[in-house]
Amino acid sequence: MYLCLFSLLVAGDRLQKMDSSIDSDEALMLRYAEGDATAFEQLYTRHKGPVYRYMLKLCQNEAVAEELFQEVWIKLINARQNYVVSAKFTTYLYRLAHNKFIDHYRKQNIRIVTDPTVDPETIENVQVTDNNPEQQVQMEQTLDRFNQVLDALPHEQREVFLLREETGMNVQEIAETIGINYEAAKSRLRYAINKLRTVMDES
Amino acid sequence: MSNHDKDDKDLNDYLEGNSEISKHYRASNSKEPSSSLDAKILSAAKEAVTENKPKSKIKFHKAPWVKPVSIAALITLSVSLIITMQQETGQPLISKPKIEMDGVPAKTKTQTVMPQSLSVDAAAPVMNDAEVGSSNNEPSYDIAPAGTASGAIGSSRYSDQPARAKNEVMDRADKKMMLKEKAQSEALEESRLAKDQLMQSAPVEAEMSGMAAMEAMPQISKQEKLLLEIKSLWKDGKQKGAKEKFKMFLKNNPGYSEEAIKEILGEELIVLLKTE
Repeated sequence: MYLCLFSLLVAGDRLQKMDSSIDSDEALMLRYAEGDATAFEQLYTRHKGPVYRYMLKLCQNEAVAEELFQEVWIKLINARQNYVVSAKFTTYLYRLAHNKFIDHYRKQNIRIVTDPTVDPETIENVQVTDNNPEQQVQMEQTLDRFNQVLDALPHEQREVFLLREETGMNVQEIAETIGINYEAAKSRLRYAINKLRTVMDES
Repeated sequence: MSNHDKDDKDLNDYLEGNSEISKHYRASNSKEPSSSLDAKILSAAKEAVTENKPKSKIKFHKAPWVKPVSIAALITLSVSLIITMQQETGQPLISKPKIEMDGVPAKTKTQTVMPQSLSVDAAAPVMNDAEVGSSNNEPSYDIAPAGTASGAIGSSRYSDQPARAKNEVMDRADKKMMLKEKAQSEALEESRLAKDQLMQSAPVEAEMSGMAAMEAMPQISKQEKLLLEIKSLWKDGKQKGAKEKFKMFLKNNPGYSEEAIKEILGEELIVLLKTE
């Protein structure tokens, strides 16, 4: 009796998973372009976490990350009628996110140049002390160290690593998303892995 | 193994999923956007979709074919309206024929219409005379009852059929001269006939010339009109009124021919009218 119920539950769960996997990202986006708001909801639920973390780790500022995250999705909403399935949806979405970040990064650079009183070194130090790794257990210390190293990576290397981690893209897809060649993408990822590897070795 | 080779090996391990790096990253990075941010974005997505629906309607209205089609529909409607109005009134709404009408001299108008009225007036007791109907080409004269026809006889004849008369004149504008000649000859013929009748019925008036008889016609028609009115009063059962009116008629028209009265009223009615 219990076995039957269990098997039914498992079967139902599998069916549900199949149903959700039927609608690809591209199909959902096309449905949304036709006016189906529920399709967008599904799409958003799938990708909100990865895109948010990508932005957060790139910007290293929660408020800015939230703002850029919102702008990415609004841009997607506004561009729905021009959407054409020419590549994977994730490539399209993260290209929007990458461009948003680049725009923000350029603006930030301009502001830093125009405001000489701001010292980037001081900002970094404050961020490091905020983490306060001494009061954490060994594992937490390792994770903190890992994150520090990740955050300390140049944003180009960090971005490549984040795309790999958050989306599962291969090197070629990463290269297409951020508009660089394959070798450059591979090189950036190699450097990132090498630096993060040192944390693993230390622990 | 060189550093480069080691890095490549690490990279390949990482890409194959055999690295601790991914585990470390996932263990320390699981943040999600706040629920308020979620709600904001989802509501923006819904609004964009709902706002888009009326926009599509606007696009439909702005479609390039809408303007010419609406102009064509407008033209069709207005033309059909003009035609309908023209058919209903019997009068053309275009000013061109009117100008042609104005171009026709007043005398010609009367000459073309007068003979018809004369012929009808002269043959008032026999209103459905075949000759009158055929000369007019208007079936209304044939079917018109004596009472109503008498109302139409005389001065109001032309005004009773303005639209049709105008139409006919307009249609025959190119044959204006021919009609004029024809009408003149008909008028002369009719006047001769009227003269003959007058000679029989009223000797005093019979001395008048043909043209004078034409001028006297309205007076005769007035008397005839009175007699027809008396007749209709009698038919309506107003015998008293009919008798009084007949008395007055005899008093006012002592010289009026008894034959003419008989033709209109009939001998029996005259006897009845005279009895008190």
